[in-house]
Amino acid sequence: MLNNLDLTWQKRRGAFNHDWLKNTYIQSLSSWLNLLNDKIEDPHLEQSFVTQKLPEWEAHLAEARSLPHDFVSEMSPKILFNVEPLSNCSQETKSWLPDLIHQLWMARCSVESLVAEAEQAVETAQKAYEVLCAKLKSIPCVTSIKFLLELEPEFQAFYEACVALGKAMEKFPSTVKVT
Amino acid sequence: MIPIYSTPHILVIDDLFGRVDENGRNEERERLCGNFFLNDLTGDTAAKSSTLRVKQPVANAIFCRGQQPVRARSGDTVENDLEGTLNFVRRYWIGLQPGEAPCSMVLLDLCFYTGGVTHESESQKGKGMAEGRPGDDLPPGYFGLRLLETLLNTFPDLPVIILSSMPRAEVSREFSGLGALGFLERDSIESPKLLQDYIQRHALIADASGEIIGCSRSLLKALRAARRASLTKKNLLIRGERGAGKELIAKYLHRQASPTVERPLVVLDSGTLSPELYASALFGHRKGSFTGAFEHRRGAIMEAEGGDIFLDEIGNMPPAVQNGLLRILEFRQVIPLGGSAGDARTIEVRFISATNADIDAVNTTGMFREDLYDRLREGGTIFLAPLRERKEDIPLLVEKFVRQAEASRKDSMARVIEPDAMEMLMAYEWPGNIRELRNCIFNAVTSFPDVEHLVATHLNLPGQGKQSPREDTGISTAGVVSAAKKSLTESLGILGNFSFETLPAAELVGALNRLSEVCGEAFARLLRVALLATRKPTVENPEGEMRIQSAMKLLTGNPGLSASQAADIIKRTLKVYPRLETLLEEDPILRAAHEKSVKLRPKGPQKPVIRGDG
Repeated sequence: MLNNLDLTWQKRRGAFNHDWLKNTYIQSLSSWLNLLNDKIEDPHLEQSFVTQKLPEWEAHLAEARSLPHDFVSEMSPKILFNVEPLSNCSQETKSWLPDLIHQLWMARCSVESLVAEAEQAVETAQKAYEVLCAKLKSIPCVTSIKFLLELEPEFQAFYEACVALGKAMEKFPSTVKVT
Repeated sequence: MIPIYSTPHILVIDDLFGRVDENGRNEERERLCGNFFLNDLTGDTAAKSSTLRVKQPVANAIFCRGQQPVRARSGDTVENDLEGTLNFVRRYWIGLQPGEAPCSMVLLDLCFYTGGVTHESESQKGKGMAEGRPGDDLPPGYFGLRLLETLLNTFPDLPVIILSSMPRAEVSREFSGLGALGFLERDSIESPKLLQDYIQRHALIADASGEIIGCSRSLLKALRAARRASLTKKNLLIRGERGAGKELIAKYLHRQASPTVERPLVVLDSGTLSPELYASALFGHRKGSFTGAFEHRRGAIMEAEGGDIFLDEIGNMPPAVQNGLLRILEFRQVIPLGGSAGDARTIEVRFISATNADIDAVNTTGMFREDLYDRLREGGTIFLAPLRERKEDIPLLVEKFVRQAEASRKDSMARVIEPDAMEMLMAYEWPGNIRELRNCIFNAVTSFPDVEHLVATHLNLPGQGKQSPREDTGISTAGVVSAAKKSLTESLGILGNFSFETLPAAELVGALNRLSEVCGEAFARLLRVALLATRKPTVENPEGEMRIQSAMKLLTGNPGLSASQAADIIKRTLKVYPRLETLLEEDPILRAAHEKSVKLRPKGPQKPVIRGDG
């Protein structure tokens, strides 16, 4: 890996997947399910989860969708030709070699499959979220455990979808390299 | 101070969960605790402000950021703090108060973000979190791996588990190589359950049932070995001195293996049985199979069907029983004594054996079958340290035994254990281990039932000013470990296996002379003891006449040893003593023996004669 490469995608993935999804959001969802299942008590979580924590998904959805899409263009080894030493290659070489390397990388790293899996995971989570929100609208009070308990299966489904999304995002390689 | 809870104490070293935000809170830590069922005992403002209550915590957690400052604000710079983190772990691993258990396990993060705290880093990662420098979030730069290496170099027995949301595969080789025992994915659905499994397998935790008292690391490691062994059905060997609690460990293992299902545990103490009775007790017998076999008997192995059998003191097992047991272990079938092939019963039993003997030494003499030994320890060996090597457990044991002794007598008063008594109990070496300590305490309580204080004078310990005056031997016995406290085989084993490889060069200077001196002194003491032990009292000499031949027969184990051979041995043995002339001048017994030997064999011996084969 070269120091002067722009690794924005990698940082974006870290911010989304590691810092937000895994470290905070999934932990909160899991705690919330434990609260619904009467394994823990937490008045603060009880009051704030549905109104404050849960909707964070909406703010991160766009990033979740764009990360798999941007992976191909930002992490392909063909970007190595934008920086030294490969940028010094002749125009003639650059006209065919980057694309060849890109195609090889796509095939050997099963990039299309990784992207498809991540996109699918995002949409599954979004679908689960929509179902959950629709159910939330149908109950009289979103801060009452009595009503929220009925939605335990929907919370569980959304939680599992988020965990699966975390795993799918993790599968992308973390370095740009020719394979 | 950490009280001894039945729930383990784990240290969590993590920048996100160990920090405190500027409002004194840490919401992410609360969520982690709610997810993994941890009770936050950190004692900082974050723990105090938490509204979380876990109904059945699997562990008590104490958090550490691993960085400075712990409470960082926007504009601050966060740096990793290796020394501070080591001190934090040291406090809970070594710097313990009396009766305080060491921490059970460490959960260690991999990625620690360093650098400036900015509004952006706070909104992205959490309040007080740094933005991260290049490499912080990639395996070669993980501070967690550096910390892991340093922790395990400093505290080699510390159980460490990685707790991370980073991909496991990228660091699997590194953390395994550095000695971490496992990896917990922070976000996995299975992780809370896996944490409980890791605690069972890797954490150092006291026995919650109260059957086995103590929180010394050596005891906790033995308990962990038992829990690990309980996960399989393989046979297991427990080694430890008499009275050290081997049977309690066997029972603990059995309880761990079947906490909910009733499975039998049959205990067979064979130390005092004749070979025939031993075989009968173990294998069972058919009516009329030997004199006195009036009824059929199932035998301990059949009684233990579906469960465990505990065989104590297997070093005493007669050869015929060893042969029979080996067949059973090979074919998993028992035929009672006097029975035929038709009486064979297939068995599903785990054998837990114990010995206080140096079974390896017994093995080499052919007294115990090696193939049987291997079968009996296929699931491993648990070593139980003697009480003198885990004296930190004595206060807890004393407390328990005093209360038990008081409860065993209706008229006994409840008493306070005074410091002078505890000091004396801590100073004693306890050759009989926990059993001896228990007897000592029970005697003290029984002898003084009507007092409110247990004081030193209530304790009847050997060497407490009640010994007969020792004869002046001329050989210094200061610092000598008596045979009662350490068996000769054990002492020789320590010397024989002593590894000189790790000694610094400075310690090797003059080592040969010192070793020779120590050997000479040990020889002289051994000779003296044998000479005294084989004295024969006569009318003229009621103290006993010295018999060098008998003394040397005893020491060599050679009943055919001649008087001149004995004389040669004495001469040669004493020659090793570095200051022979002074010794003979000061010690009348050795002087007499030496004079007798010289008289019998004025010249040197013809050939070496020390043999043990008769």
